[in-house]
Amino acid sequence: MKTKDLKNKIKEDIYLLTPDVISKIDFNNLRIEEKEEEKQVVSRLNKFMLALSSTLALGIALVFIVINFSNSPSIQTRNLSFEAKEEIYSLSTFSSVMLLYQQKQLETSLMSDEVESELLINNQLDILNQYLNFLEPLVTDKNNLLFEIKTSSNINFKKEIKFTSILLNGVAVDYVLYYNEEVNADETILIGIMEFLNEEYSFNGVLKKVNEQEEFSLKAYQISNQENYIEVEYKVENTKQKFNYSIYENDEEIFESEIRIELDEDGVFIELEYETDEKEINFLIYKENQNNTIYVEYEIENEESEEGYIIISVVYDNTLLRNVYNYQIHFGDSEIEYEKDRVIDDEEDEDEEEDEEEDD
Amino acid sequence: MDYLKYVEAIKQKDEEAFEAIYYDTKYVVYSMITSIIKDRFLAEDIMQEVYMKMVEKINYYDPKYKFINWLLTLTKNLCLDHLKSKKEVLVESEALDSYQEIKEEKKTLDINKYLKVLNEEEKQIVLLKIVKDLKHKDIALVLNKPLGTVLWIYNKAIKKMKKEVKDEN
Repeated sequence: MKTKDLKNKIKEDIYLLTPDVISKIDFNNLRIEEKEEEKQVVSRLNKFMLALSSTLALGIALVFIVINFSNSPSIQTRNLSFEAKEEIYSLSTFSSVMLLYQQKQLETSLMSDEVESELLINNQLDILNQYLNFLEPLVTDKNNLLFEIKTSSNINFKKEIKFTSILLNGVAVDYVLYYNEEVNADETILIGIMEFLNEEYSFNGVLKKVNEQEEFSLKAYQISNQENYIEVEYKVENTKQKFNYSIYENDEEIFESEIRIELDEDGVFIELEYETDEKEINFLIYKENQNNTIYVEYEIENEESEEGYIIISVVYDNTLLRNVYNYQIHFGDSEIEYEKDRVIDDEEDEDEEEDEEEDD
Repeated sequence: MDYLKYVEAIKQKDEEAFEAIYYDTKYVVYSMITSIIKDRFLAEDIMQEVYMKMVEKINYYDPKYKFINWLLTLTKNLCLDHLKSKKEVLVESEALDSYQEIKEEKKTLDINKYLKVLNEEEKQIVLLKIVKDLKHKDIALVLNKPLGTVLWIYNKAIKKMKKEVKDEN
């Protein structure tokens, strides 16, 4: 019996056993309790103190607002909400560029099999790691995801989006894309570039309405190698933001995957799903704020099935002299550790820190 | 389900909103109850009490938090209150113990044979996850346990049940 079947059996049994008590509840005769407001009798003195502190707070707030407004540039900033097309443009481009970059790096990356293990997850870590590299900036607290939409500083393009995020190690990173937008009656066409690790990536995209829902598709590639590219399709499905990725090599599709993003009160939850070697692979990825780690719950289904979780943190590798991902895989009582490549460029900020130290 | 909309409607005494929440949550509420209470009749009484309390206390729900987490915490607390009061009664009348045990056995809930291999804590986490597909992060909040502990218990439990299935075959 597969894990999925076992779960369904338990669910069915609960459904059969659950009694219906609604007929025993006389809803109309239930009394809804009023929430007891804080019944503090405010004395005259208290009222005076309250008025005084409110005036002071208002004054401080006004000074703060004036200072902030005088320093802020005339740009539109917003947190991730999926309510603006610019967020979709940025996420589609950024994720595609990261995937494309890593496709090129696969031969030199820290591939698995360093640790002998019979776990099915072992063969999926290189794929997961490719996605993790662009998901790390996304799974942060949604208040740490900031989009700035402004007039382009690149003369070839009219628009610019800067996407800022806080990484697991607390470092802020920026990704910038420049583009031109052609708005037509039934669709919006996008052509632009994004720089990543000193290389330029081109993209073109189309935004259109299908059954009153906005759908976006984008292709990212390098001018020097247009036969290898990434295509991504975006749409909203059941309150989840769905991105479908196709990886092409020599104009042939070699891999397909789906990502579903859900914004929650607690943060960003990401599901990653794909099929490979007749196995269905599912990951649920989110951040644990207390320990600054990423939790990945996984399920692998085929004739055998495996379910476990992975705790991922960023560690400094003293041999490689750079930050890498540390994977702690938990399956039942077993625990295995791996290190994997992290291609996110947070070097710039380290330089800044050095500069600051020099200044001191 | 957009619980907030229904919560606001319940505050206006909208019975349909109450029914919508009831039908959406009854399985997971019952799962929580059965993971704590072994007596099927008492479980049913508590379930009724949960939904009555939910209506009576609806103004105390803080929309900053997830409604389902609030409802499950309310359920868990009601179950624990019942256990506590039952314990007090039993201490007062120990002579009834053996009679009580026989009576209990007949009424004991037997949800699923594979769940039998799990302890109470494992059963609770497995049911909340499977029945309502709650996130482990939310289960951790409701049960007041660290996320890592919940994930570890859940995975251990699934492995235990799968071993049971394998042995059976």
